[in-house]
Amino acid sequence: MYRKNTPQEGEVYKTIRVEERSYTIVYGYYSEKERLSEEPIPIFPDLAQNPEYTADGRPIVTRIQDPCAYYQCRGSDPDGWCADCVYYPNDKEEIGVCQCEQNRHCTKEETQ
Amino acid sequence: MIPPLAVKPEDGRKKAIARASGDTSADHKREQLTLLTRYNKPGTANAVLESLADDPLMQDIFRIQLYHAQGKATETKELLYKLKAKEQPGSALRTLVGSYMAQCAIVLGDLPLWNEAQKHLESGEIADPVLRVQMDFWYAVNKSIINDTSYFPDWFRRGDFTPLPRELHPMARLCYAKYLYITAHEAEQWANDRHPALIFLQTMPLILEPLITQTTMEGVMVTEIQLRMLCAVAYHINGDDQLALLHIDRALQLALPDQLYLPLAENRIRLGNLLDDRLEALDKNAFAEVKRLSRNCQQGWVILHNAVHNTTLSDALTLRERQICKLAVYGLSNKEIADRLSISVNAVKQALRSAMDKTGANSRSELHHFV
Repeated sequence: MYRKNTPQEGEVYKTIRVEERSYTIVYGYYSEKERLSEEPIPIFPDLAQNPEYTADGRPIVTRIQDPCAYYQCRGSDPDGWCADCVYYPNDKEEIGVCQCEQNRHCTKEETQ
Repeated sequence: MIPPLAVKPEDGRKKAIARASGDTSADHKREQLTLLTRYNKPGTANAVLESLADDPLMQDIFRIQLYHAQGKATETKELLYKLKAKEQPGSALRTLVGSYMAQCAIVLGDLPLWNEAQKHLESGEIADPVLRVQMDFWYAVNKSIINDTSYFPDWFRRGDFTPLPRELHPMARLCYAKYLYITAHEAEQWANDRHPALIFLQTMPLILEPLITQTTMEGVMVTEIQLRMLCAVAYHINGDDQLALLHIDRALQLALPDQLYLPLAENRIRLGNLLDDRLEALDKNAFAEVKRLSRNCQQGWVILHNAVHNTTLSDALTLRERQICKLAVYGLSNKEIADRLSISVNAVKQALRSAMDKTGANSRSELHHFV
């Protein structure tokens, strides 16, 4: 009567909308070894390895991504991820848009 | 060197048994509660049970201690209620029933059982001052299981166990090691950028190794298994897995023949994959059972801890989140945590971030308030 239900691998955690894009996050494992003894956790896309951008060229990032060269800590106690950077608007959002101008990719219209 | 006139542990036990036979004094009552000292070889649980066939009460007491070590919480609970019905006022059985009811409650996540256990130890007119000390001690031990060490008497905090009967000293040593571990975590003052808990963990093997040697010499097998597992955790957190494995291997040799899974399950999560890899290679059924028990124990602990302490901030933390947060609070980097727990760095970061959302912590260093 006191037990929580644990999620199953492949079960949908949530769908996150970032501007025109949509990310369906499912439960799973980052490595095979975790499968042996861990419960599945939400698996987020590796947007550092495979970057994606909004229509106006801003990078879409996960909040736990390693910070870039333009990282500026919001508070006085840096954790060293996008979530606590001044350019990541809302650290409660698991996937968000980096507002740093230095990281912005030029759109096709801008380069023409 | 042992002095020639020193009394060997087995001689002490024989004297206690001789005093106890046909004797209704306090010594006899203590003997009833320390049957674990008779169970000193792996694979002999059934033989000890059979040897007690002429004394159904003592046989039931040993069954409780054995079932509990095997993780059979439901069977233990049934036997405890059976014994509770036979208790006489002022009986020494009260301490056994109260302490094992609380421990069962953890495994079952049973808050009413927990409350009943504590009431059982609190109440009752106990004329025997020795018995009263024991009941107060077990009440404090039960509270410490859910991280409240405020009920321990001063003599215990100093590492002095003389107010307790000698037969309870092995168990008292184990409780003392756990008490030191919890107290280190409660310390808030940081030294040299390292949390006191981490400094303490580095010295914990120095405290535990002689306790293990002494308990081994005394032949208290179940307590030896528990102490070895605690020592393995300390070595593992310090990054010394070779020494951790020595203790794990010995604990498994002692525990597996009679399926004493609970001491293994209680420490499983804190050992990363060390215990799992060894156990799965030795006995897949035992591995499955220890995993199941481990989940039950940890979930039960969270339920009772939050209910008793009326906490709300950290009660949504999963076991893994809690474990990762503790290592982060000790000052380990994400990579170090991932290596220690044999998981990916992404999994570590996600757990920390999730814990911060749930607790309202603004940074990882603030998490120490919540774990």
